[in-house]
Amino acid sequence: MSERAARPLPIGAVTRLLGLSADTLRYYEKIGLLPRVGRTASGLRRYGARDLSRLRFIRRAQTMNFTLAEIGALLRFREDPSGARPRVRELTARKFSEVERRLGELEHLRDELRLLLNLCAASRDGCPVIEGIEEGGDGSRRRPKP
Amino acid sequence: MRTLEIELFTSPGCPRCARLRTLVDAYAARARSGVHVCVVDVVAELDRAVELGVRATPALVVDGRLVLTGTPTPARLRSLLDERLGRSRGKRE
Repeated sequence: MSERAARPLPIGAVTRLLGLSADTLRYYEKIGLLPRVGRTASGLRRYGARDLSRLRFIRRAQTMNFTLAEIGALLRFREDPSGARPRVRELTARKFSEVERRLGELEHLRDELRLLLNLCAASRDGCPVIEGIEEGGDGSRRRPKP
Repeated sequence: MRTLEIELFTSPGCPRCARLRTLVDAYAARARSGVHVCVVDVVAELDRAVELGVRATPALVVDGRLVLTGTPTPARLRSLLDERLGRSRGKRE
């Protein structure tokens, strides 16, 4: 069943699903990162698909070291790209550049690790992965041949 | 005179690297001039290897471009390098 069609989840289910504590979820709501979450007749929170989507965005942005204030601005832009103020657009553009840069670094790291794993798999005398991590690429072992 | 710059990326414990090195050395010796061979330890030059697209060893980079990975037959290597050498000399002329 798709998340859109799923029934709203109680707070305990969301903590298990996203790995966020109940206190964190309530805090996000309190500071406005999350709009007021729906409640049952007895006042218990119920998180819908839209809430879960925002929470995932927040969690992703936090892993990129964005502050909660920045995440708030990014969420406003996410909600209303055309109506976002220039300051929010500028912040979003800056963060976009940061994400692009980090993506490039991650791609390089991925390629490096893949190469090391391939070397390890093909090596007869052990695994050069550890050696590679310890030495880095300082070029000290480059040997020109006359 | 323009020189064909060959970089041979090798790694510790790589049995096929020695084989390719022998083939490349033989090619360079036969060419006599215009070929410069540099043996590169991929572990020591990880950043450059990754930028060149090296994914395994042995890998052969000619004039800054990755041209093959693994051990080709002597004929295949000769043909590949002859073609590059011709191109290099063609550029010079």
